[in-house]
Amino acid sequence: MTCHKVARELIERFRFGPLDRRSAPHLAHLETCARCREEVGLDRAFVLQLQRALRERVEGAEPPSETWSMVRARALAEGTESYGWWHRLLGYGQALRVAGAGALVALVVVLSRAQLDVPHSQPAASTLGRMGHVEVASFVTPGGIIWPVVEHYESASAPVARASGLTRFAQAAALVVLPEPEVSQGILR
Amino acid sequence: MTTQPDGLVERMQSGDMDAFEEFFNTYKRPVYTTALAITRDPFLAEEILQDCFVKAYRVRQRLRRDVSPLPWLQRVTTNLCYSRLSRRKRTFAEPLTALISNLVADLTSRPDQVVESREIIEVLQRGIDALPPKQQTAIILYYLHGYSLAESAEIADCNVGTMKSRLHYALKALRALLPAERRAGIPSTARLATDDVP
Ligand SMILES: [Zn+2]
Repeated sequence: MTCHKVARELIERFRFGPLDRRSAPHLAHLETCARCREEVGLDRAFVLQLQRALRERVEGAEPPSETWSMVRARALAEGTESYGWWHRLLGYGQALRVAGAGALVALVVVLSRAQLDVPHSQPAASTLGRMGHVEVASFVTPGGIIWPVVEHYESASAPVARASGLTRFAQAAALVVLPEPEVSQGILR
Repeated sequence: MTTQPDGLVERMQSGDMDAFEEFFNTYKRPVYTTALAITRDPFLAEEILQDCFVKAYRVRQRLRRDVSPLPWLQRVTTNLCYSRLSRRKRTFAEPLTALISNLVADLTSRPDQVVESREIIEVLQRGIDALPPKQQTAIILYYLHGYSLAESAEIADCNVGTMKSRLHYALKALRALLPAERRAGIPSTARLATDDVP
């Protein structure tokens, strides 16, 4: 057990825990080694100073008392999120899928009409066919327009948290039960 | 982590403004603390506090009744903070040389004591401001709020190893700002997860 290992181990344990029976030999070494005491002590002092710096940022600070009336007024003015009847009927994810399918159908119609407009003598018809394929693919593949949105929202949703066996705390962090763009977008990713 | 008072969210969902006020009063302090610790601007922190709770009210129908809303509120808060700050173009990373050169000599060799030093604290404050958002969030959750590694990780939506790694890099960066004689003993990165190198 070198000094370096002891100091490193104890610094890690003091920072993140746990300090338990397994740390006993390291702590015993600390009692007899001034160098390790100093190293570990410096880190403890540093962490305590950091905590002090962080506390100073917020010390004595209280949210202003008038904040509640502002929140209340804004909440009442903005109301509850609202979906169209078709959202409510189908659920958001389902609605996106339906919208995607609709867009796909529309695209196919547009492309087939475009193809019909191409004069028969032009070989460019095959180009249109290829264009159609690419466009359609971009709608139907998982990397397309519809799916990333759905996946993104669902990543913060409770059903996913449940399915992956996360803790109650994790479920709390993934509080929103249904996919919810406003809430889920950009959450610390 | 504060648990949810019985039936609070349920009452809020039924449109009870008193319940919303209780919800606000229950969770306003940790939310405001996070916003203030990140922004260091009481006015901005108050705006973020408002935005966070207005948002909570807007989505109240989908808040879960069986778990504390605090992790979610904290997540929304940190998001709001960094989107506001990036809009504002955060002004940090001033040269620290001048401050460091003023550090007094009496800070050496007192490992078992917290050495009171205005200058050290100032250096750390600037260092905290200059940390990348994820590392800054990590030290605020873990060292200011005192959430466990697991709780901090849940709020930050990462795994415990990543949270530990963020904390490690934050501490390393901050400690590197201290004068050499206070800097000894920075542990090697070898044992930490490397999936979150800043
Ligand atoms: Zn030693």
